[in-house]
Amino acid sequence: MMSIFVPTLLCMYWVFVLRDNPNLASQFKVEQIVSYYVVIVTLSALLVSHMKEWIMREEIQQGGLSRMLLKPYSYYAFNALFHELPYRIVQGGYGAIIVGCLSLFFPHLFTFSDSLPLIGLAIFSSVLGFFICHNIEQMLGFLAFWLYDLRLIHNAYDTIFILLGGVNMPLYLFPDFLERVAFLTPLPYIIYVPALLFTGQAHSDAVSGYIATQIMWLMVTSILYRIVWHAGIKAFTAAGN
Amino acid sequence: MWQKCYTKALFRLIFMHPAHIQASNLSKSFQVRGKERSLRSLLLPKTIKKVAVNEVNFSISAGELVGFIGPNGAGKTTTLKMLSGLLYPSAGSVRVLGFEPFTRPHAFLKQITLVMGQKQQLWWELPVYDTFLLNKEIYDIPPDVFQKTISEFVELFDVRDEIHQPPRNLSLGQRMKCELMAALLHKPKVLFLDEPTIGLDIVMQQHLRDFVARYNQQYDATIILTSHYMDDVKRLCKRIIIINHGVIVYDGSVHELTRKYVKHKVLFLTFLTPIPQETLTQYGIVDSYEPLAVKLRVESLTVKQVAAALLKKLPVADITIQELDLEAVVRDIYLQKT
Repeated sequence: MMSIFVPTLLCMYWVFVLRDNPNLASQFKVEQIVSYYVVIVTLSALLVSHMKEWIMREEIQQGGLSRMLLKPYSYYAFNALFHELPYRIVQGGYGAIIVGCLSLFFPHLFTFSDSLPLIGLAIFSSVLGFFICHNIEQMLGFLAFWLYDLRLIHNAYDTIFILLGGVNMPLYLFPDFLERVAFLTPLPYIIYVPALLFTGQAHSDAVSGYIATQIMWLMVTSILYRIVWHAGIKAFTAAGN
Repeated sequence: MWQKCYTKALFRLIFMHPAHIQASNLSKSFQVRGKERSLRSLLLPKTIKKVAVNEVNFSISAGELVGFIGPNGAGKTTTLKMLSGLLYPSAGSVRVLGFEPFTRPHAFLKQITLVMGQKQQLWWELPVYDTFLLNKEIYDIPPDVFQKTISEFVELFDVRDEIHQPPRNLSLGQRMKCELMAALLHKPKVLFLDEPTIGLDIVMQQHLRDFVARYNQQYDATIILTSHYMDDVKRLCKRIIIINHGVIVYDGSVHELTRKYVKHKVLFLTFLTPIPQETLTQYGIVDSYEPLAVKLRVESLTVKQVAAALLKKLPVADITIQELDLEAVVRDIYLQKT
């Protein structure tokens, strides 16, 4: 409930802003804003991993990682596919059902992409976003190989993600400078870009650029993941309960 | 000349088991933060290097069951963790089944198991049998082999009902049985057992010992066992490695350990009349004292003369001379090397 409360408030805020500012209504439509917030909340539940605290506390500090390291499977694959993905599907599934029902009963409030290829690209983009987020979350958890208390770093990351990841508001409402800064990071490519694609708000000539940049960030975060993992495993003391 | 070399190589091939585990100058040290309390330590923390394992060398052949003992903090668990691949050695080399454990190749992990008495492998929320099914898939165990192994273990450990419960509903003893089953489902060739009997009652300890002995014989598995219970070592192991302060202080048979290190014998005396403790201290070390019964430790070389003197000078009702037990020998070794 808490995770939909703030976006709902913000959505209502922008709807009232548009209602009371007719000059803005020519640039932004109410259904555009409502669709954006509904999709961003759903994608947030579906794609955003929350592994870093679990990795820090349960795996590294309490020694749960020892059990994983002695099994003949990939730790990365196990976390992504068997630990995190089921949670995401269940949580996002609820959101998708609610979005579906709302769009049936209030079709005038929603606008989604009507192009099947674009929907397909949006799904592909979502998968890329999931793995980018997963890589970043795991690396932030792996900092526990060297540091004991990571709450400051984790909270700072969460705050920056809410700001630059498009969680609180679409980045096209930001000042140009801030929007450019955001797109220099991988954060908008986790849920913001998929949200634009699902709602049909992405410029058609920018779509391929978005996908290419997501692939680039996935490769970068994957390489960084391997470096951090291999360095961390050497420092791992296998202590804990 | 070539015939000599050929014969030697053939002899080695036939009669000497290849080493399953080989450690050469194996070392592990940890960087520990110093205790300095100052603003400077926040920015430039001082770290102290703590050596947990210091250039240990040993070789264990296929099928050996070795006791690996030492006092708390000696480096036993650290060594086992390096052998199983959990820890990266700071120096030296280690090979297990021909692999470098810290690279953790899947082919290696499928042939070993590490059982730590305090840590669990079972999934806390899942019924135990579901963990077994998960392990079956992870280790690619064929279904018929899986069923046969489960039936064998269930009968051996008598856990027919327990395996359908989650571990949180089981007692410690029941959980340990299930942990061992999960760890051995894939019939590993090398077992690292780190205090597997800790916290178990004596009946359960005996069950576990019998099982380990049987597994070793049946599957010719190489087993390294660490334990603080000398009964585990006495009853299971022909070879013992003692480690203290990260250094191996003894590596040989249990029999040889007693022969090499036992410099004392124990006299059990009962008296007809009470004898003060001060009177007895001149004959040897008083291990336990009651006015009419005493346990006296005497140097092996002089035990005959001391026994004769005691019989002559004191009203002895009964005297028994015994070897020092293994616990006392090991305790003396721990203390000698500090």
